[in-house]
Amino acid sequence: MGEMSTLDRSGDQRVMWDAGNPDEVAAARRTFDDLTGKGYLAYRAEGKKGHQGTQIREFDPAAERIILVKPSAGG
Amino acid sequence: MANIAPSIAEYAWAGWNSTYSTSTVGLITWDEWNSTYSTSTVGNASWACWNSTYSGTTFTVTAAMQPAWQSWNNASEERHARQVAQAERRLRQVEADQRLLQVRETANRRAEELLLSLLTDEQAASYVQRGWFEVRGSRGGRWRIRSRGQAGNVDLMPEIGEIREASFCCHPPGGLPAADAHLAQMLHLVTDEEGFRRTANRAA
Repeated sequence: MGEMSTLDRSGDQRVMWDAGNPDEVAAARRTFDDLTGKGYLAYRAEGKKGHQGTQIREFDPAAERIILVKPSAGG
Repeated sequence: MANIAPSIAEYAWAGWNSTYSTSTVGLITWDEWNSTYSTSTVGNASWACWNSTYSGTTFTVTAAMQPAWQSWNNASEERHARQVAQAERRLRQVEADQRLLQVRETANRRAEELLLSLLTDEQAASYVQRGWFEVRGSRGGRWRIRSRGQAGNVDLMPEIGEIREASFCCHPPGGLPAADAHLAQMLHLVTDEEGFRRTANRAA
């Protein structure tokens, strides 16, 4: 089961998908493409491996966790 | 004066008494007064008039008084309406503040849960107990992300020691909950340490 979290004011919006369910994968992919098209950065993160993140540009149905966030800026 | 006044006064009182107090003339005078003003029809009418005017039972606002009363009533009603509206606005503001507070608390809780779910046990324990956790950047730097705030909260640490080399300010826009910003800072560092350093503002 994959989970995609988009960080926002509410904490995050979550989309979950079953890699074996084409409809759920397609819906998650649409969300991913829509947000990355708006400039969001996507990271693939593995649970409890805080130092093992990877930036991705394509949706990966096999990913365990995907984090989407707007690019940071210097404060 | 002292010798003269008593005799004059005595004379006057004696004359008054003899004429009006006990004489036939006096009794007739008192009877006449009483019959006229005390229990007579004229007297009753006067008292009834006074009572009906001032006791409030049958008081009627005249046309001449109407504008003044209307003005007083209108001003009073407007004042009351303003006070009610003001109280309602205050109540709505308090309710909105409470809802916002609940939303923020929920957001902060969700953000912290998400961050902790992606940290190692050691990092999570440090974040909760010490108020910071450390990560290795993609270029190998030792970075400390402090939990207090999300601006200027990222420190570059030496390989050995606890005195930071510099602090950096770099975070996502949009007023994210602090823990979400800390997660974004961590992901930025572990995937693109050079990019983080270029983007961030550095403070000595």
